[in-house]
Amino acid sequence: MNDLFARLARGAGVGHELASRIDSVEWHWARPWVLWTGLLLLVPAAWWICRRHRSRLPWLSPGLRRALNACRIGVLSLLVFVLAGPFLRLDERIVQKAVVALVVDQSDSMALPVGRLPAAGIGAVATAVGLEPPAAGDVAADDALVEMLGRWSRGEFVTRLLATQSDAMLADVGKKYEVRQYRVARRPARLVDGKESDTGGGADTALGEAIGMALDDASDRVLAGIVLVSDGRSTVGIDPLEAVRRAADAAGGIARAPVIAVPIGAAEPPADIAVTDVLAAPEVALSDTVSILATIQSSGLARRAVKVELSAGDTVVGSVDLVLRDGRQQAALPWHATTAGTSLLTVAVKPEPEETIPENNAIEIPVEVTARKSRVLVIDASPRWDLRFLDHAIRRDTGFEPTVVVAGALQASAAGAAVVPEGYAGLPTDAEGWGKYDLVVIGDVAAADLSAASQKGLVEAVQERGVGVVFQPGGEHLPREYAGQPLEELFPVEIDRAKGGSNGAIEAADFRPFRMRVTARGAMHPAFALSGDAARNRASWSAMPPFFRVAAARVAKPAATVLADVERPAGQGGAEGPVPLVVEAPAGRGRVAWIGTEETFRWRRNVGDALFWRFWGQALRSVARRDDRPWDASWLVVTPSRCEPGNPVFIELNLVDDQKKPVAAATQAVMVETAAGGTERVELRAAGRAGLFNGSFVPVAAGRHTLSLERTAEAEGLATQLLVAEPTRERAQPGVDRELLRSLADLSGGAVVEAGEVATIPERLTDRSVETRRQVDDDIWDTWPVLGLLVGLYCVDIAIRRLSGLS
Amino acid sequence: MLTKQVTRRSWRGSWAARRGAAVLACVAGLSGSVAVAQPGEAGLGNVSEAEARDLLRVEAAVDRGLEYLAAKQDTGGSWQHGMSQQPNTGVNALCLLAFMGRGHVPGRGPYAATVGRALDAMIESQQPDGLVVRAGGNSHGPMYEHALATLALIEASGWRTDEAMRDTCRKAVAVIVAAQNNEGGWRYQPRPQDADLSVTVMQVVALRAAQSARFEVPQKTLDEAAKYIKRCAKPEGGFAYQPGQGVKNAQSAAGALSLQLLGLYDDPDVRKALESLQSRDYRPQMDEYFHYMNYYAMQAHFQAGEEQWALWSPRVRGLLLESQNADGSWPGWGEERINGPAKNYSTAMGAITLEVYMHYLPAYQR
Repeated sequence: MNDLFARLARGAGVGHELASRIDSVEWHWARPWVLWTGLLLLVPAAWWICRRHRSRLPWLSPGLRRALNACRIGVLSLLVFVLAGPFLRLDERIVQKAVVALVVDQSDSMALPVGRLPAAGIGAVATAVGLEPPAAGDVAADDALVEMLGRWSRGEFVTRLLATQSDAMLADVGKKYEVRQYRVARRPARLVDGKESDTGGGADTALGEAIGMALDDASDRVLAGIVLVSDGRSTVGIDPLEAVRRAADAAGGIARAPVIAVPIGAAEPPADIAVTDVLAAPEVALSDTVSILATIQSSGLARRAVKVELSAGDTVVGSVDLVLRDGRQQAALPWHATTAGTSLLTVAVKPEPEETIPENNAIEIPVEVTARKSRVLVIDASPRWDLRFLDHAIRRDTGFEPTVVVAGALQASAAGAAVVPEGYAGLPTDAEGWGKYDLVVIGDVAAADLSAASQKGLVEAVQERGVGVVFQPGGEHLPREYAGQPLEELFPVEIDRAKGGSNGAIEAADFRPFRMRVTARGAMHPAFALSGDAARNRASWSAMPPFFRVAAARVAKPAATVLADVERPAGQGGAEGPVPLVVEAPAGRGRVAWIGTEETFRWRRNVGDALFWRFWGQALRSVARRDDRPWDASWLVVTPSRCEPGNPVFIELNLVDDQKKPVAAATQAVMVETAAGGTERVELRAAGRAGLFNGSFVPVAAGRHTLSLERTAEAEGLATQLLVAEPTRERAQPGVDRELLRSLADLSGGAVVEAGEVATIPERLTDRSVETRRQVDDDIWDTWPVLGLLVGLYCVDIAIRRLSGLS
Repeated sequence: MLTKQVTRRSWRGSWAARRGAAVLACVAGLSGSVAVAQPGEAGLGNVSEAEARDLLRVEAAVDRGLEYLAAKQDTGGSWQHGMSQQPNTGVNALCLLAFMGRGHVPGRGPYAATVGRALDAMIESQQPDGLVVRAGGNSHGPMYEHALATLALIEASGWRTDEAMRDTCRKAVAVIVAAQNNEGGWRYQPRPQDADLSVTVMQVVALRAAQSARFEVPQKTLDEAAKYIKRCAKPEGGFAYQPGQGVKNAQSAAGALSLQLLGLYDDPDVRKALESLQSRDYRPQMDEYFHYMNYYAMQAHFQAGEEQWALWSPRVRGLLLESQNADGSWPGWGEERINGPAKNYSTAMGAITLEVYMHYLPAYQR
């Protein structure tokens, strides 16, 4: 019957939506008073029409007269109908369920054992995971259950928990809410129709990204809560707290959704020893004895004596005894560099019998041993903070042989530093003099203190002798005083000659300081190397504290590579686009770099020299002249030489012919042989000077890769190795991060719910369903049946009159 | 929550539809879309996420302290101590160091004017003989103030690099060198008479800063200072105010730090002094000069390396985070009787003690 009405309504000109739901629509009048008034007036009008027709048309047959009456009354009725504005209304109430996001951790750390759960409440936990709870007061059964559950992996525990709760707690939640399921490991993924999605492997946990995804997905919906089932270890991406905080900020300071955290794993960390970090100079000079600093994290093994061993290959080359104390400890291992080249060192602690995670007991690091120390000359006009820290750190690095020259009046040496007694007057004046150094660091030196001849000598030393130069401009002299001077040729950036601040620097607004942004290329560059994960490198360096002044560089020169930049304040520095901050470029046979801030001291925040010197040491090494990469020999280098799958590496090739002349070509190709035996061709493009080529490659699988030049006459034997390894971060700290989960719950107004209490989750969610009232109106006075009826009546009226001989 | 959406096809409906859309837009705007989050700052170097969160709390506490100090600075660039009308150069120097220790260096950032005024006032307070002490500033002993002022000036000279600034620093360092007595120590007056460890540690820190900034410091001065400090060491562990006296916690911290800054990191007296401090019940009552002790003990434990730092710094962090007043200041803990009732001294000390985490001041680089 409804279909029939729907067809009729549609035929009568009613809109499709209303016609198809004709049983739910209501008739309404836009102006009911017009209707009632019209109907009231219609009665006397009809009487008057009938009376008039009877008196004026007595000769007309009664039938025709009645028809004529009906036409006239009908037209008036239609007029009343139209003026009253009839319309149909579909008035519906739509209840939109609030969303509950269920985020389940699937990272590698979930393969760790649950650990010893507290015996109190173990019965509830057993019930939650579908086991028969022990009888009340049966201590032995409780202990047995604790033992058994403790051996389960966290992942297995979660699987059992979800399976059991799918018919109980989750079913309850599903009645009132729309449950959206997510899985998270290296990246988050939403389960659609229960199908597993790609979470990028379990080598990391991106809890913050998962929370962000759940919030984003529900941006047009009400999110009743995020149920987070995890051990709380977040190793990649944004901080989970930051994700919650930013969402609250975007919502005017109100938490978007409560996070209900279900910690998986015992509060007490398992008995474990982990080597979590090894700090060593990436390069040391042959015959040096250096200290390799290992950080050991332990739990549940206090007062145990262990031996921390340093091995080169299979040979133990040093060890220290350590009495464990729960928490973090450091062990300094001396190592004597006896062979030039790359040494793969391993710091390891033998697993103790109680340990359940032996695989986090060792870390392997490559250390480059150079045949000699790198000779560095540092020149600056004043003891800026950066110089004071650099001065100190460079003298502690055994791979460098530094000489520091500060403006003549400040020649006094910090203990142990080489001194040029004459100060600036003792600086080299020709290429030969500069050529004695492998690297020159030029700070905020006045152009007047470097004669034109001296500058020309330095340019020649770089271009012809392969000396490296690092510029670190300051506020006073560099770069503005060098416009048009010989040294400007070496700058890897175009400087602003016209204007750009009173000191050749660009100032940030007090409350909008500069934030360094490491470029994609920068994340692969040795200067910014932190780990084998380029994204982590980039994120870590880009999170360095902000600063207030940068050198006024316009753009990078054509052959230069921008490794980091900052946003340019509008209209400053004589250019548009970002201000190049850290730039590197080849310059003849040498290299130059530009570090456009004198506020790298801020990178010491909270970690001291760890990042400050990491950057400076690596940057200086990447620019300095190296015996193992001479300009007149062929070499192939991959950077970094060790990385994680999915991370790009940078390949650099220097190619010369039999006469040691650079090979001039637009491209070269490198063949990459993977551990599985596959090969891939990578094209390298000419870069800056003849004979130098570069390109990048992204390894997808773990294992040793061999890179070699596509077979040519010059390429015989030219190859290098790339080690691609899965990260071990997930297992480095096996404890459950309850503090993070508690903070997430506190910050978002949620709660921490133990596994045995998951049944209470539905009552912790606040039903915030949205009821939407939706009205769709459709006028029906302007439809064709009304018009047809009007025309019909009018035609009948005319026809009767004509047939009756009326005008 | 109830929203109403009306759709009409006619001219009346279009207005209603627009109104409905506006309502929806408001609702959507309220629920908001999540901003793309930026990488967090956790996980830097060897800092765990939990530590990174604590460090954010430390930074926030320091920032509140600096806000307090900025509000209390007078137009002349000084901070009142509350015991006389004239400002005390030592308190001024500590306040200036508190700003620089958080990276608010001269000429940069939101506190550029505050720091600039303080620095100008300090330079102006230098006497013709080089002593940086404002006359009438309720001086408890000019060499205390002078050493702190010299430290602040030398650190600031990394940012104000003109020759006049260098001269100011050079003259200030010369006063310290000239005031060393024949035992190797320093006392209240800028004359080589007697000595005590409390004054001596401040001179050593200033000389260390001078050396780091490449000002001329005779090695003999440093060697003699080390000898004096060693004489203050007690065999049972810890240091005394003067040779022959008993151990005091503040002096144990000062003695350990002095030897470390003089390069004697592995000296047994350093280790024993730190052990002596660690064996005490850490609370404000542990020394009558608690802020003084706290500052030097924090630095000494940082200089001693990761393990010592891990043992000591959580106690200090916990106390200072818990005890900070709502206005950003720190309580005086009894030192008001010496340094005045105004909380500028205690706030500056609280801030620079926590700023050891930030590793910004070059004088203290390990």
